[in-house]
Amino acid sequence: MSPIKTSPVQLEIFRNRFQAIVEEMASVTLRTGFTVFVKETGDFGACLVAPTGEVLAAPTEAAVSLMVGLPGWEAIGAFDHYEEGDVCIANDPDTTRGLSTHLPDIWVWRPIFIEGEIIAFAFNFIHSSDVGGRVLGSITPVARDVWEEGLRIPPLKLIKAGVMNDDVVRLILLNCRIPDQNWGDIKAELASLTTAERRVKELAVRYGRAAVRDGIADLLSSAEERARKIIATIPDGRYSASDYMEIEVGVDRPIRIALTMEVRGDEILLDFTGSDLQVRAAFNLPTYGQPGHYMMSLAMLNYFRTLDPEIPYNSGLTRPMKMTIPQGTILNPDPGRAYGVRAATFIRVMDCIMACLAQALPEATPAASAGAIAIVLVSNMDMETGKRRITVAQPLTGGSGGRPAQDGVDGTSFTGGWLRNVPNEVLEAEMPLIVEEYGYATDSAAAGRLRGGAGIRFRMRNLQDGTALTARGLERFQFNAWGSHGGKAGANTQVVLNPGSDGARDLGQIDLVELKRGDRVEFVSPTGGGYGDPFQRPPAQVLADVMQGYVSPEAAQAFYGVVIADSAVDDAATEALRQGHEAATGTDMGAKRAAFERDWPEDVQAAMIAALLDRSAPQRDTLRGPLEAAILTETRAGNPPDRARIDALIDTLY
Amino acid sequence: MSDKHYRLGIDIGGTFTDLFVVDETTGETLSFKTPSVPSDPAQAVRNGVRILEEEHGIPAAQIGYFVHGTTLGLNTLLQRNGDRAGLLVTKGFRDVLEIGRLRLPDPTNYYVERIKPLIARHDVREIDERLGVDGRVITPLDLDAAEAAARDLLEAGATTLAIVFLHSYRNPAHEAALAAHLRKVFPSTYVCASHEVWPQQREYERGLVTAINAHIGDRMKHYYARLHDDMAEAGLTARLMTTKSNGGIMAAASAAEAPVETLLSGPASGAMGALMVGRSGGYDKLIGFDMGGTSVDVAIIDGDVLYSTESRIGDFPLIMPAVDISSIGAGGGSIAWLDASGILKVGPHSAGAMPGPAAYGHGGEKPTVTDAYVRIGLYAPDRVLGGGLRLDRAKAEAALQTIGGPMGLSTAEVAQGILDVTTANMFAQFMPLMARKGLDPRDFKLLAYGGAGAQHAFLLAREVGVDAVLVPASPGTLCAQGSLGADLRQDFIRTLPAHADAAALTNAWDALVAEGHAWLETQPERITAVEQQRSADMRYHGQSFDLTVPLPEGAAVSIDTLLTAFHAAYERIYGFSDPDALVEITNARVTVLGLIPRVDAVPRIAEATPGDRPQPRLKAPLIEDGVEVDAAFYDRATLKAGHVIDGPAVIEAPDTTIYLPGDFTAEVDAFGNLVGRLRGVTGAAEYSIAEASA
Repeated sequence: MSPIKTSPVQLEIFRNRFQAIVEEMASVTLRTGFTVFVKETGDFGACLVAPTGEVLAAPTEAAVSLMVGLPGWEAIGAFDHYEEGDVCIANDPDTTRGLSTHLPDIWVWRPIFIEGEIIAFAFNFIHSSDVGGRVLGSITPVARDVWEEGLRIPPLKLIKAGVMNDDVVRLILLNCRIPDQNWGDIKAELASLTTAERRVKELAVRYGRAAVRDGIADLLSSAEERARKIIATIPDGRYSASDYMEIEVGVDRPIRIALTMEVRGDEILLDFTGSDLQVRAAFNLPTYGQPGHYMMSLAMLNYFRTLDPEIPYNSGLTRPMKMTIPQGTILNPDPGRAYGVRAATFIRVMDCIMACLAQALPEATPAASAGAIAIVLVSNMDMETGKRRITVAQPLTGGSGGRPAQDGVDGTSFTGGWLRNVPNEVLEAEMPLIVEEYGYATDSAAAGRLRGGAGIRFRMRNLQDGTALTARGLERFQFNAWGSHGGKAGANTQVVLNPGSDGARDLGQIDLVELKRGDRVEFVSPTGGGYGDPFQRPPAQVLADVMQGYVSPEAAQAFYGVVIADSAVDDAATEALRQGHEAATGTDMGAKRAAFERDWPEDVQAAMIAALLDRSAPQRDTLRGPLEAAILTETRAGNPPDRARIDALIDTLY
Repeated sequence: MSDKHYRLGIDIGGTFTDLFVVDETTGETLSFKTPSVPSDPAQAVRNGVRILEEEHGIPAAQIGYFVHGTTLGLNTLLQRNGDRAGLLVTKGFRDVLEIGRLRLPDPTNYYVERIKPLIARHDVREIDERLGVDGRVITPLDLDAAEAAARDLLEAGATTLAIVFLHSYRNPAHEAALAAHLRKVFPSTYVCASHEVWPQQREYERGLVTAINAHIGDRMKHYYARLHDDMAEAGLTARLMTTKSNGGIMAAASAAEAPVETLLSGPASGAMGALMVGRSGGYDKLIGFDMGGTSVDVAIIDGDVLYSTESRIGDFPLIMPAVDISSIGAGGGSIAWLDASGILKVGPHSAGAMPGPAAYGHGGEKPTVTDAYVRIGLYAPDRVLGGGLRLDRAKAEAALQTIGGPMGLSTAEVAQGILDVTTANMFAQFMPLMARKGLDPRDFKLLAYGGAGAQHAFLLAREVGVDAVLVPASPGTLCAQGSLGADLRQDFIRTLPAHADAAALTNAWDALVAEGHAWLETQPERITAVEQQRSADMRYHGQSFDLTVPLPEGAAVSIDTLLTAFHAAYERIYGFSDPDALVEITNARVTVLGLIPRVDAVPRIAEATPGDRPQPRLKAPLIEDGVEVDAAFYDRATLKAGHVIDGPAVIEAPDTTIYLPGDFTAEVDAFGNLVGRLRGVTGAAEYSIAEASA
């Protein structure tokens, strides 16, 4: 940490002024962006970046909370020279080395010169509704490589010294299905950057170039100092957790995310060794092993902000975090992989960090959240205009886990907590649909002394043949969010076509479903885990949940040991039920996990992953299927193989 | 000459009730404050009227025009102590109020709480009925089942009823049928339906204003009835009018039906007062800056008062048109503290009215912004404030010392730091809110009002590039004054079907204008003219955000005029437009105004004779930008039109304290407004780096 030159008063003034700039950038983007993701789900971002490439301020009121920790140095370093009035553009994860993490995120950045010196950069991204590729919307889990996912833009100068590069613009727009919207989005981004430049220049006029330069460095240092103070309060030690993703394409075995968190003094090492191999599906998360990468650190950043809401929100917070992310894994894949649905992977990383924190700080950490964010999209042909239209039906983010002193959050959670829903009246105006139900699902909240948040049930009826439905990011059909301290695990996701009819069918993890007129689809989001033994929940609170309709009387009896009759607690019956109850403790990972790990003990998975990582990428891709089959056979025969045996198996197969 | 020649404006606030009286025949005005009576809001009105008669010789019988504003509805909502409302909602949408728009207030905080809905989940019943987006009946209303559900709610303890059915903005038949039925079956129960309150598409936002109405409605109805009786008893025969969030007024009887329209009437009246004062002085671009104990209310006047359909009240969004008031979380009571790294922070916690700043001597020990004002010397030792309050400088210093010690700073340095950080806090919230409106502060002047506004307005002005600050003659009673300049005003909306064409728009406008005229018929006040403003919510095809575009004044009702206006408005706000792109129209809007006969409520003051210079009542040291300077203190009552004062100076009045920093010069205009200008600024100069480093 460099010594802080700016006074405590001036530092607070700078923090405010930079925050004003990034909030204004976000406002400008929000108001002028075209894409539905901007308006309806807030999927865009803006920030100011120090010349070193670290984020120095990011908005907290609008936009996604995924900015701090972005590797700005990669974007900045893509050019060896900048002129006043330059604006750069890119969306490609590989050539930006993890700045962008999938192609729909179109990033732009611009240097801000003060008296010939670059004092900062302004960055902005918008999730575009389409950048070409094999499907409308560009994101499909079945993409096998990045070329299937649409147009790749390496770092290019979109504007050179104030002059628009029209060739680049034409090339980009020709490769998108919705060029007008994309061009509108890009203009919104440019407006945001222009705002940032003007405001930073005003700041330099007010306080002088040197003071601003020092202020930027000191804001980063002060955030770092504050983060270190918080980390120092976490007991030293090694904490480990792992969890799974249920990818149905490209692999047979669920994807394992593993983390060992080592806390030493005021530093944290996040070691993801043991996490699964990269996949030939769109779940790879291209972090490029960047220290403090924004998709790997959000859970920690939220933890800092929870304990210290006034903490400066910048990349100084990530300085005390070290990361080990082996290359060739799903968290640091080789170039050229498919990335579209990487958010699902990011969420599971967050779950693992929370699970480690729960071991280190059991009295401060919530039980696991639902662990999935699905965006339900519908599209069809507009009969009047003859154009294809696409809209977000609803985001489904599930409930959060129960918390040390509060029940979980109903209907959403911390991973997707910035998402807004769509007014159902607006949805019905834009699409030929009838929404039959949109509300909390009874008995979906995981039982606990502090119960988990309820999930959302969304059921709609299609009125026009050929309406296409996609729901990227659906997860937790089999595995469950963890309950802690005796709380129950969260509920699973359900997606059913024509529920209650003879033709009812589980749709599972849908890629794209074409609906017939009259078809009904019901989604029930997964939920987070409970916190604490549900049999210790005060009966009055259980009664309130029953009266409010969150919990059925049957579930109150079965899961909480509370008997309810005539809108009141039957004290005697409750007492009798609860007396014989053995106190629940520990972590409930759900039934599926135990069953799965009988076939796939964790050490076998870790050994196999390590063994394959020693091979070349093409070997991994081809060996993986047959090797897994061979290992499974041996494990089921009662002889789970060790590393040496796995290496031997590889040699046989190769 | 009428014997009823006084107009009375009353604004009932949480602490004080303000009265402003204009004599229509002489143009003389009178204003004063009397303590509010929270337990019985009408009591303060009675007290005020008695003071008028006993101390000022104005009998109630001579008051011919009476407008009053109250925070009763707002406070009932904020404290959530109104009626327990029951909600009857379309089957499948039980959680419309619970889920809201889903987004968490702070998604980064693991201990965040969802906003608690105004109507609890157990007070919601789903009703079998459904309309399509085009208004056609998909499932008919089961009236018997609905009545049973309502009875069930009332028996369970609900005392009022709200009805929210999907797509009722398009076809109100189901809601109207049920509301009529319930009013017949339960004649003493307050019932409101969403299409009556505000028929706009978006079930949560429409449902929310309906729920608010049901929560506060019955209490407001009784309050107005009580006030009406009290006034009659006091001999006040003028019709009772009440102020609205949209800056207009309406008959109290209408307010009892739609109290949700009064929620922001306090700040809205302040904005109307700012408009009135601004117009008298010839200023048409003003930023209203009303600073209180915990926050600053910001209102914009750009020719006219700016309106918004995205207001917030406490936790809740309000989609009905209201004067655009933004709240900035920094006030005189904001507490200064040191964070974990020893950084100086101000707010968001406030010392509130009790205990208040340390200098109040009511037991507050934490340093506040007001204590910083005291320490830098804004309050002369002999100064007595309204209500006999004296500020205790020793207590302010002791409080400042609690953070000065750890910082190694003197109390004077801490005080300066607190003011600087407060200014930066205001800046951080002010600039993005101007950006959201597409406005450049440099085009505006600040108008400081409320008791505390003039203490900080100059400090903020120079940071945000505003070169002049206006302090009206009676900043403390500007809301009451503003209510006397308001007209009858009502807003109407109709959501248009997808792909609406010009005919659909003009038909909707015509229908809304007719509704507006019918509304005016229900208003008892005499008016001189009727005006209607047509506007439409528009967007480029593919965008999901609307811009409300007024049909230019005097323009023929034509879609082409409207399109041109849309592209121009878009260009102004966002810096670009696309005249070739397809434009969609989502809502037709009409605002109908019944103009009240004008009266000059901004009186002129005596003029200074040539050579007459203002005389300070004392000179005292003041800390400015960390340096002790000699400041002149003036009694505002001695100032005359034409007087010029150079900063640093403090101008004292019973209702405010004006801090004029050293780089400002102020002049008193013909209406008693004090207009301070940054010296050496000739206009909105472009910033230049060369100048800065020189």
